[in-house]
Amino acid sequence: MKKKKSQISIQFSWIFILIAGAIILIFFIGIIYKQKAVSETRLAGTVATDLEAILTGARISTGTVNVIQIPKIEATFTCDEMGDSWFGVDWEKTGIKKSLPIEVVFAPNLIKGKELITWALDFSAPFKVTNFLYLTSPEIRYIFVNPDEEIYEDFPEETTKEEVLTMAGISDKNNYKVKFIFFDQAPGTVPAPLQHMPNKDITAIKITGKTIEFFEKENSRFKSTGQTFYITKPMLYAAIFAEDKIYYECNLKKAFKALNIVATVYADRETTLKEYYENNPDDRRAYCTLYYYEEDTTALKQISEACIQDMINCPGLSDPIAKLEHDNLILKEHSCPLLY
Amino acid sequence: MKSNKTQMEIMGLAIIVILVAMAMLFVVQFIVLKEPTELKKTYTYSELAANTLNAMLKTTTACKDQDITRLLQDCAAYPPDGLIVCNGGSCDFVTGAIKEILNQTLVTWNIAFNFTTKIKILDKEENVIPPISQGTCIGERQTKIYPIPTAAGPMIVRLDICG
Amino acid sequence: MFETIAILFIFFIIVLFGFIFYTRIQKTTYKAEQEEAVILRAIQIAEKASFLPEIQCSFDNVPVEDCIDKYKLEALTPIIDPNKIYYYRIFGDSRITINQTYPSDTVSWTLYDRPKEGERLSTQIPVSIYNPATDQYTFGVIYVEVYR
Repeated sequence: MKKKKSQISIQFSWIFILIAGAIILIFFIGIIYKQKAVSETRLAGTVATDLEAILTGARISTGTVNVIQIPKIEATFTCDEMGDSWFGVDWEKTGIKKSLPIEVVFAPNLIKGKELITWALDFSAPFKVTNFLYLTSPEIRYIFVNPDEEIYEDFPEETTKEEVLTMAGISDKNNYKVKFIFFDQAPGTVPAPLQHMPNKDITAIKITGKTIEFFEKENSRFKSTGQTFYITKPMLYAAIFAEDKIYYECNLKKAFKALNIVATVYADRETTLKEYYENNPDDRRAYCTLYYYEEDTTALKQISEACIQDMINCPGLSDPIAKLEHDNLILKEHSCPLLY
Repeated sequence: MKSNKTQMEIMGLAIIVILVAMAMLFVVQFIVLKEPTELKKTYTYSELAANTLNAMLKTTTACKDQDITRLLQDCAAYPPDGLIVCNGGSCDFVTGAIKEILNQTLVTWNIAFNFTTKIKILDKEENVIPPISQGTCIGERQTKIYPIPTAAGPMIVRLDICG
Repeated sequence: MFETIAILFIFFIIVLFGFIFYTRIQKTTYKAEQEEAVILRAIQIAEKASFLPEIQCSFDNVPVEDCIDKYKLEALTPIIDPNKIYYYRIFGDSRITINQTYPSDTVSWTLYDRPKEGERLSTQIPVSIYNPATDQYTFGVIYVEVYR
């Protein structure tokens, strides 16, 4: 009897140990999972904040290409027709996103990997307006088909770029995104080794004069998604880095908003300079009043305003930009205070 | 037997307590007691010396519309008073102008600094104008040096922001 | 068995203490990170103010560091308010003033003013203020006050 009681007691003991052990394990595993989620969100938040700091830094320094080591995250960039612009870090999992209402950033819609390439160029029209920041990943492939050598050479070496004369011989190098850049030629068919890739991961642009046409893959062919324009070289590079026409134009609108403000400042500055020399005829540079043609800065201000309302007015910016460059040259020749 | 088992359990508990106490000690040592980084001070002081000197040397003065660089060059080339005349010599004028600028900025903001202008004459370093300073400059400092060519040789303008 | 339960109970109490201690430390660390973020933001705003293309001096489109064009500054100041949403994104809750200190200290411009209740962090940046008509520089200071 005593032996039987002891045996039952041992069994109950073991059951108790199992239950207690399971509770303890579940408790600690629960904590670990919770901490993992918290850490991931925290990491995404830190990366988002650091990326924001990079964008701020890029507003100040231009010309250099930086390769930044980042944790293995997925950064999403969006800018839509309504002007809603933001970037997210592991957004679907963490919900972490930061808005970019004025920062002009050209990037593919998804950047993933352990490295982030940043490049900033001045956007001048003709005076410095803002900086364009280009972001990409070494895992994204850029294929220039029969390119303009200067454009290809100036494209950052740190990116995965290549130039080809024809589409024949292009192989799959296991990139998650591929962008084709065509110069004065129609895209034609998607190379066979790349046809298995999802449609959204293969895009193209065709550059003809000052016109850019965007394409996306539709099975084995490229389908046009619309035409747009560019005025300066930084805008051309913007079209290469941008995911699509909507993203490109959305960010350009931000640049033109900045242009409108800066053009207003320069127009007022020119008026003040002209008035100063008119009111001080004894000044040694009073003759400079002859060389301030306020209509050109005013035209730039007005066209940039119209451009923000409707992008169809934007190509009209080329004319006042060229005139202002000429006006500045005249002022330089006569040793007068420059427009910019 | 029972006593052995209990002793083992107590020992196990004691080990856990020791481990938790050690973990807490590490946390306190490396996180709570860690000195906060003086991010703002590091950034502002590193820029302050450069910004102050760059802006100061470009400043146009009332002394025949000459800038501070030009007056320092004149003072260095023609000691002790300088050749340019305005309410005294250029040396006195530029010393007064620099003192006024530094009084309105670094002195008002209670920042310790040391401003010197030195030139090498016959292998000996001489001050072009008397040094201007506030507080003691020991330990960490942020320095901006500006070499200015003069007729008497290169002059080194130096601003140390201390602390 | 009761001894085992008692030991388990004590064990869980110790774990609970450790957990409370850990969350307290997390709170302190989080507060320190928040503080650092505020300071970083103040530095970013100061940098943006001193490198703003709308007021920075330039000669033939080459920007000059530590220099503000007086006429551009006077042209921009009235434009800030109609574009306050745009500039809020750049400067946030802050106040940016530029004071001329030499030769005369009576000239001052308030470039941006969007105050908020609470503590503020001040940064001063010496700059040159350039008059393009007379080709002369004066000494000034940009005061950036960022509200927490």
